[in-house]
Amino acid sequence: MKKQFEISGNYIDKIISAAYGDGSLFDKIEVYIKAYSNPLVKNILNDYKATAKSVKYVSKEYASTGLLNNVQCEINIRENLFVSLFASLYKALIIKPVYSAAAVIIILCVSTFLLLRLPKHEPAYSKEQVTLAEKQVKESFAIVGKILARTQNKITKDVLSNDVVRPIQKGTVIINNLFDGG
Amino acid sequence: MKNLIKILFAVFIFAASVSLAQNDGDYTKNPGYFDFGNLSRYIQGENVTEVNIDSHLLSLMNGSTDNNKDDFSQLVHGLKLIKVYSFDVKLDEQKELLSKMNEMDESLVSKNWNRIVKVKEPDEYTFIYIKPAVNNKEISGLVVATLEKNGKATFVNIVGNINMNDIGKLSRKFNFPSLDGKDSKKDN
Repeated sequence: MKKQFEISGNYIDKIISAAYGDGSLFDKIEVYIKAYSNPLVKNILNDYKATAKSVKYVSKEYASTGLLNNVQCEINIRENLFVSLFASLYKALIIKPVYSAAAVIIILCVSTFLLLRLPKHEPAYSKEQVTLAEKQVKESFAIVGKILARTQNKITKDVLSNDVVRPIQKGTVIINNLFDGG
Repeated sequence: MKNLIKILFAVFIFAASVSLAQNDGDYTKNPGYFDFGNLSRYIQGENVTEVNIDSHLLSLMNGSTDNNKDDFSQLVHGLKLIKVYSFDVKLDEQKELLSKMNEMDESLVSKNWNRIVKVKEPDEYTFIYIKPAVNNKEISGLVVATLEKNGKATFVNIVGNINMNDIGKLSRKFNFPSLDGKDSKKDN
């Protein structure tokens, strides 16, 4: 059998606070969610909300000094509500690192998703441009080839022939002459 | 909590890699890239060849102008940039350009480029450098700088993974002298 939800004194206070709008954000959410599923809580909440509304629209001439003081209190409470909202956020994000870590993960995921969806600004080339580029690539290779060929010739003919082979040959001739003469 | 930190770290690494992937087109960070500096003051006159082809344009090439499409595609595959400046230098500016070439030489050697050719003659200067890739089997960059006796200066930087076998193919295909000393054959 389904267990009946019991409304405690503390919970009634929460409902009243929610109805007057002076409770914490989490209390308000909790009460409104409960009211959505529980008709009893919904009735109590609606009653207190109606009372809060009627108090709000009481004109000044009918209001007693005590009532005005209460209204003053109400205003102070509303100001405190903002303070409590920031306090709740501070508590959630700073004091409890799990929430802040979760927030960072969500931010990172969203940033990553946006980065992945960023269009790559690659220029579009026409067929003629690609064909021209191909010719330029070949021309580039030909320039490099010409330089390498010239260098290769210089190394094989000038350097190896004149500076290496010729002195060796000259040295060999001198040694042969020495042996012949000896 | 530990699991949460692990997840957070994983997400951070993923986001970082994605942001790095966005910078793929930046060839200046490639080890085979070399900045020749400002050559614009020398690049004047009519005989000027200036080629600057990036990886995106290279990737679009399928050898449509060539008889053997597959070979060409394979040759340019893996290249990130081809940059060529070829121009005539006035006689009074040649000394200054030579000084600039010597500065380049120092800069390249200090950045662990291998100088494979250095020809310094009264009428001709040639410097050729290669940047070995991490695996030492390929080269990740090629730099050529020359100043000929007729005043023609050429600066070339090819960036990307260049296989030595591919260079042999290039030499045969585009009148490129092969490194093994065999005669090259003009294909086009």
